[in-house]
Amino acid sequence: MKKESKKTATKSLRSKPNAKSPLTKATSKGDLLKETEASVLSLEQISQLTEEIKSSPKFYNNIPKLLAQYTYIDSSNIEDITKARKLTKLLFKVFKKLLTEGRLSFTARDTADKKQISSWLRARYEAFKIELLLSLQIVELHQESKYYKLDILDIVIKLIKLESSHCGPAGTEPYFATKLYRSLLLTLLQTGDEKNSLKDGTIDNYLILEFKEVLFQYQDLKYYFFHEIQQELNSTQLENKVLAFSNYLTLLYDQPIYEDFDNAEYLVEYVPKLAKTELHFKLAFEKCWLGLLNWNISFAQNQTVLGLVHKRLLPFMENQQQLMDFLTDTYDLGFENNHVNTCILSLNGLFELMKNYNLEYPDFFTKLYRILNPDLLHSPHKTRFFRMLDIFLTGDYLSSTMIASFIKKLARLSLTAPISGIVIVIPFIYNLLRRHPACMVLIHNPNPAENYQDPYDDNETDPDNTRAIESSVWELETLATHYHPNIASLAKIFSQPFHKYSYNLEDFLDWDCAKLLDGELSKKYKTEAGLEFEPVDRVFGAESEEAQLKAQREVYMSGWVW
Amino acid sequence: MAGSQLKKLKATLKEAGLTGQTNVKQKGKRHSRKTPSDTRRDDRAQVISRIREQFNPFEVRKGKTKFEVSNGRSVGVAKPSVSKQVGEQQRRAAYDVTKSRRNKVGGVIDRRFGENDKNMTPEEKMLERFTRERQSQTSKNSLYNLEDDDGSDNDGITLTHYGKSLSLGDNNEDNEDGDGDGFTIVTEKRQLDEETVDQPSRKRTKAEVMQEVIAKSKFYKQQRKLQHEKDSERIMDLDDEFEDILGELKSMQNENTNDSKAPIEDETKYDETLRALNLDRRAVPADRTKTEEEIVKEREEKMQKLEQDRQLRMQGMDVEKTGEGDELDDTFWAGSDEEVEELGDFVDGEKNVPPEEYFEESSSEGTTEKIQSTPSESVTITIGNKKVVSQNSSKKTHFACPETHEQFLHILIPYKVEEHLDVIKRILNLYQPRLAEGNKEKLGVFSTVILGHFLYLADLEEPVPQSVIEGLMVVLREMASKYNEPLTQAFRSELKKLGEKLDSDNVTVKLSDLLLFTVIGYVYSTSDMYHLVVNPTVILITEVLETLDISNIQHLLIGTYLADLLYQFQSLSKRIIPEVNRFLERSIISLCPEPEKLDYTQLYTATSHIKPSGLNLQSNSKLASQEFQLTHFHEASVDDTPALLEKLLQIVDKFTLIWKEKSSFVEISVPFITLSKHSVKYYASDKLVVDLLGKLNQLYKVNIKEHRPLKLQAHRAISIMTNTPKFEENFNPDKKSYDPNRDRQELNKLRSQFKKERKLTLKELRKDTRFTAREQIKEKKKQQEEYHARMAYIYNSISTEEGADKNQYDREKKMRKKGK
Repeated sequence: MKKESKKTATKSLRSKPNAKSPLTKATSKGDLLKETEASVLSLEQISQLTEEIKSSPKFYNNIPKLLAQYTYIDSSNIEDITKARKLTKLLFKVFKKLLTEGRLSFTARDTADKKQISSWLRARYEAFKIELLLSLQIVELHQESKYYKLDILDIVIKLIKLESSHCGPAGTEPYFATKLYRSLLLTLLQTGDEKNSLKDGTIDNYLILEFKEVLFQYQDLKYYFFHEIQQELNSTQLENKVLAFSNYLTLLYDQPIYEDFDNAEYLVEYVPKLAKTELHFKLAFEKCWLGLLNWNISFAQNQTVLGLVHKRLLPFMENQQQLMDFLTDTYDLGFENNHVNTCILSLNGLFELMKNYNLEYPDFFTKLYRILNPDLLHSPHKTRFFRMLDIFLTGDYLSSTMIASFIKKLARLSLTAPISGIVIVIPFIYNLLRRHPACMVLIHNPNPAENYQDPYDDNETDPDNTRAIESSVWELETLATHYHPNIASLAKIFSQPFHKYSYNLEDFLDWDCAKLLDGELSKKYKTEAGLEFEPVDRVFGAESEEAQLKAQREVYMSGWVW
Repeated sequence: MAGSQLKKLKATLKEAGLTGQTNVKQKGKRHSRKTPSDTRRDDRAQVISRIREQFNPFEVRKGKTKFEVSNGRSVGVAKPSVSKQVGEQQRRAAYDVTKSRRNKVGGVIDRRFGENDKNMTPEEKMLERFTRERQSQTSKNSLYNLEDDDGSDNDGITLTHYGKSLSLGDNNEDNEDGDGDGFTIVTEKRQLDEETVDQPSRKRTKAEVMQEVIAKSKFYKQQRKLQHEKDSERIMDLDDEFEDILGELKSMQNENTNDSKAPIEDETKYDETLRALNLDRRAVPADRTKTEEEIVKEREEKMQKLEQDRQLRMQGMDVEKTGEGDELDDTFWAGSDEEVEELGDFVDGEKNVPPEEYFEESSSEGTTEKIQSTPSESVTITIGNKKVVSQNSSKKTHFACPETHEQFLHILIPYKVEEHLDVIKRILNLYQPRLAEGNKEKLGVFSTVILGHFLYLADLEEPVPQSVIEGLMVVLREMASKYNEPLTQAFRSELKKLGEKLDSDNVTVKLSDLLLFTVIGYVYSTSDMYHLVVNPTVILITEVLETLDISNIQHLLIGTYLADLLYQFQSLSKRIIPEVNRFLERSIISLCPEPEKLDYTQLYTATSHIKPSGLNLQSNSKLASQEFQLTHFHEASVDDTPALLEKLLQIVDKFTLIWKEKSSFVEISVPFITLSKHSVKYYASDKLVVDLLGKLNQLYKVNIKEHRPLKLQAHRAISIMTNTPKFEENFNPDKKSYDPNRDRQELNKLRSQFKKERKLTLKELRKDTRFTAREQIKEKKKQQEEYHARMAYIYNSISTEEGADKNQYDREKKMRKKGK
């Protein structure tokens, strides 16, 4: 008897979250309608009914009446929504009372009546939860419905807590209301509008942001978050995977998943052991991420994930090698699309794996050389790349032909690079020359052949075959006439004796436009700023023919009119 | 030898045959007979001294040698006690002499000229003596000069030699002692002068110097006192007279006022003509009119100087600024008559508004009437055909030079945009620095207001006429030379704002930004290596170029303008700008027809086959040249692409002038050659494209020939320091120096000698002083002993006398007692 009732309860719960169309919702409502008299109640009536429920168990029949009210709520009507808010709050209070009094659970020793009442109440409670989760999906037409949803979110979290402490198997035994939490997560991941997606693959979703705060507060929520999502990866509920992933990413992209595992806070009073052990947490985390990465996520999301790998993913994974496939795939993807950022980011992840797990990568330097493409010095991740490149090219046993290729290529790239790129390239090449003196021939070749011709092949992808070692870096000499005086003087180090042992690369890595400009503008006015003294007749307009003949300048910006 | 010292001595003396039996004949000693007695006596003295030495080992001091020296240099033997005794004796002798001479005057000192001067030949001495003698005979001081009444000879006759006093200069002291305060300074001074002339060698004692100083100060004090008395007397006189003068003045003024009332008409007329005459050009001798060649030459020199400075700045060196004349003298529009006239017209015209009217905002028609109705405030005078309005200066204080852009806009409300320039000129003229103190600072602030207004006008909805924009640029240029600091700071703060804007969100370049960049290039010397304004500007422009979207026609247009501007910036200094290279390449790719046919391996910004950007021209299109209107850049459309491509190729053409000087021209030009080759396929009829390709190819050919590997590390070899020991071939321990230079060797020898001598002399001197000190103490002791002895004697004698007297008294007393 007990078992049966339990089963039916679970069945109905199972069937109801799966009900996704309004049609099925209506049918479920229909059942309720049969049980109660269908009538729209006013706010006063509602509050009166709840008062009655609280006062005595004989009024429990008011509960289905109240639940039936949800069917009359029109999501486009503000008044309805406010009413629903009120109703939900009141019902929450009712169920809270019932839960804390233990009316929903029964033991074998209880009388048949009580068992019946409990199972009946439990069925109503399930219905209430379904109503809540369904309300999370209503269309937002105004601000009020947003507040309503936030209320619901708050209430569901509270219910999880209540349920975990009162509906558990017995007294103090650890229990977590996973079912409710799972259905909440699945609902939440499907909320939000794809129109609000941001460039980096995250989404602007207030519900998610609200949930994020709670999530990061409690360690058990985090554990079950990964645990439950991982189980529902292929669930039909997550039909819009891009949206789900955006929500997921929004939750996790900007802070580490935990800082101090042992001193974390827990939502539930009696936490199950699994949620308390770091190993299990890491496993759940890892499984969840790996499962998600198998989805066909968008390019932007891919980028964001790559950015997270280094700091947010790897430290919290138990088996870091598992990411290798993902990283190698994206690394190759980057080359296919000539996308430098992707390459750099996946290389960064791969490098971590190489360091920790001795990962071997075929054609490593050839691929590394391929990253040196025209977009490299314009990429926002160039500092990350040069930090790694500095490590990769440290080895004493690297062939000077290859190092020369890297030097020549970087010099070539600096011909179209912004200041922030050039300022890294120059000291970097200096350090390379210092470390590999055989490459000095690039800047100083005293005995060239009689009919010298530059043999360097810019389009060769293999750094061992570019013949850069037979070339010379004229580009660097040209940089000595760069428009920025500091770059120009920095470029002159190649024509001075190499006295310095090496440059500290870190000093040159983070020079962006703002920093440079700030440096320039913070200079003090000491002497008069130099003025143009040659007169120009006009600023705009066309140069007259007479002036052209005399090769004079009459117009400052010829060919332009105001 | 055993025994005591005495026994030993006896034994030795006996052995030497000095004691005991003297005539003992010793066998085998034949020389005693032969040697004469004289030498024998010497022998005896010698023997005794030797024995004495032997028995007093401390009498002799021997130098010890540590090693045996090969040349066997002898080690000296010194007898310290002997030499000490000798020194003592000598000193005593000298001391006695000085002691006997001390505080004593006497004897004859040879004062003949040059007697002790070794440097004079006898002839010279004779000659000098003769002239001296002659001079002294004619001088007043001569003994036989009857007119001498100075009274210096109050001592009566003094002994002279050749007419000169034989005394030791003590007579001055004597005189002073004798005369006391009555001694006049004048005579003393002269005497001092004479003394200094006559006795150059004598050093005055401290007492003398002090005396002199005191006397001098007394003399000057006296003089000051006299002067003060005189002055105060005069002041008193003036004070007495002052009241009279004041009375007279008052009466004069009264008369004047009485007069002025009647002929007021004449007076105003007179005033007017006076003012007119004042304003009329004076008949001042003008500077000579310079010939045309001179003017040209001067101008050329000035330009040359400026160009030199520019070159220095371009290389990043500091230029010493020389003041360029007094700024107060220049009026803003000085030098250009046209503009002055223009200004005059402006003043004459309807808008003849006194400055305060700008604030009152009255209509321009009403103001002319106002001027006529208030002639006392501003007087209009007609000179020739020009009208000059002279303002009442007191009124100008109401007028404030606008300090913020808001204030300025407030002033400008009644004016059309075209008139803004005139208003600015008017304000500049009113606040010429020479007119009042503080105007310079005010105009400095105003210059920043002009900049703000200029940028404000650029962004107006209704485009401002080009003439206004250009006029404002000219004004800013002029202002920059006079108010460099405030304007430079204003430019910098504008750039800062722009930088922050660029930093915060995606680029929205406004017209004012373009104009800001342009005016900076127009005003400042953009070729400088270090420049407060230009450097940040270029950084900003390149940053904008980096962030522009190549597939957007408006962005392309902005980028093209900026690239053109950057060429103007670098046209002299010829520095490379990598960002421009990239921009030019990318934008030409996105404009040229059929970009997919381009060979991407020869391009620097593409890595794979190029996809059309959507802006690419049709393959059958034609290039056109057209002027771009900046104010309409938001309306740029696909129709402008042919002209834009033409413009971009033009800019590439310009930049080749910069690139061709670089060692990596070959590398830089590769993509542009590819692009121009590609363009020629479609626009073979376009002269520019064909010329560009020809030029690039030509330069490429030339440069690839000279493309030799770098030799950047060809530094001069620096030798390693060597420290090998020196080997002397002809070593000789006696030789002090191996210096081959004879002169230097001599000099060193002399130097060491001098050092030695100096040391010795110092030693001697110290010994002397010690000796004298010792002697003095001895003497003092002796004196004291004598004194005590004498006193003791006196005491004794007195006490004996007293004792005798007392005895006598006692006796007397006893006697009297007895008698009683």
